[in-house]
Amino acid sequence: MNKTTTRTLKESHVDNSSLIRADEIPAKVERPINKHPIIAEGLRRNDLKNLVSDVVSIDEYNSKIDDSAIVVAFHVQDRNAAQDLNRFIQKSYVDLLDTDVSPAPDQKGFYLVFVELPLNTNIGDAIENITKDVGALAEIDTWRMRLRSIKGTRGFNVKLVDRVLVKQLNDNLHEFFNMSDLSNVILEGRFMKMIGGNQVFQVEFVDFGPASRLYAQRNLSERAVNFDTNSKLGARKAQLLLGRTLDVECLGEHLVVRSYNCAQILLCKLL
Amino acid sequence: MKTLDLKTIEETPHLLEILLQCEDVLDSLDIYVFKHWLNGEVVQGPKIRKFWVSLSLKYDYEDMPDPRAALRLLKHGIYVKYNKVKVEHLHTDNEHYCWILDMEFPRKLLNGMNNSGVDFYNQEVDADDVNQAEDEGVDTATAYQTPDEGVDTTGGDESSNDDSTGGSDNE
Repeated sequence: MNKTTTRTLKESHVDNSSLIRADEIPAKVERPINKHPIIAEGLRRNDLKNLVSDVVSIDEYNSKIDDSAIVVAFHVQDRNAAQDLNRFIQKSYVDLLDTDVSPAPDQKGFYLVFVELPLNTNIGDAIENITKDVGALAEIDTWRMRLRSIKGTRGFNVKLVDRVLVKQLNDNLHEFFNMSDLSNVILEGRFMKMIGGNQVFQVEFVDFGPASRLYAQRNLSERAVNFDTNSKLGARKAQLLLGRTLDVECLGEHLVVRSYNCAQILLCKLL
Repeated sequence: MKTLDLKTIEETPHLLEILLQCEDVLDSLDIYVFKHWLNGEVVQGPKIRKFWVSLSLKYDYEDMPDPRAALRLLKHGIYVKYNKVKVEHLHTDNEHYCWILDMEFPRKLLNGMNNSGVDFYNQEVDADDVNQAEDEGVDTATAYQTPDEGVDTTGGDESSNDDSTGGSDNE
């Protein structure tokens, strides 16, 4: 699933010397002999108390699998605890793209647990849900966050996260529609308005990202082209509005918008 | 609501094993991280159907189990239904509420149930029926002999395993 084995920091104010490369670790590490084996059972409430930092990193690292994905990172003091947290998050009900643990601790001795999330209109809620789950495990009620493009650490604020990250999604969409005939695209909650000339076409935004991921995740290859009259009319209307640089197709319940010069696709639903 | 028949559970190793497996599924999904989930007590089940095993857990009204864990279970194919139930005491006027969680586990999640001898068990067991069956010698090999086969006194233990799971179908 992973494209590369190392993860890089995005261009930002963050000091990118905080991670130690795996090959910089001394070959022989003296480890105390653990006479008491770790209990092999599920996690309990507050099991990771005092082991997880209350500062969560949002969008500071590059994704391994999808350039548009958002990477959230938790800082954990112990390697085993980091792996436990990684497994705990993998079982979450929030839709995740990937999770993994940094191969080595940073300069402060923290292992990083990376969680990759698709960038969509409810990204703030997704991050908040994960922090609540982790909070139950690590006894953290109040989280702080470091968000790329915002200096310093501040209290976790889902509205701020939404504002910053959804703006990023908006920018990506504007870039995607750059070659189309549209004059403007407006994302409002889960709805998207495509404006061209004096016409407005409103759809429900579903997802935006690399075609390979969306096709696999939503099983689009298996979906039949929808020849329902309403779907055909909707697709036709969108096609006329978007122009010839974008291709519109109705697959199952989704309207798929592809660009001829971009690997990303837009998924939406007709209203 | 019918209450759990502890005697049946104790005397039926399969059912106890299945209850433990259901508990193991909850544990492996880290459900006990969430508030109050550890305080539940089994009040009904397990009921075993072709593809599902269901049971009910009871919680005090003040200790409502965190619904976030139910979302986590749902993602893994386990259905949870919250019921607010009024509890009335027979000899006093006191009444209070509690939470009954009806849970349905896909059998594929439970270890060793795919090909096991466990078959259907979707009815309440009446202790009187069990006692009567014992009196009639249903748990001995003779109960499974066809008239032509006669009596085999050496195989009694083998057949007794499946009695509680309702299944001569398994033979």
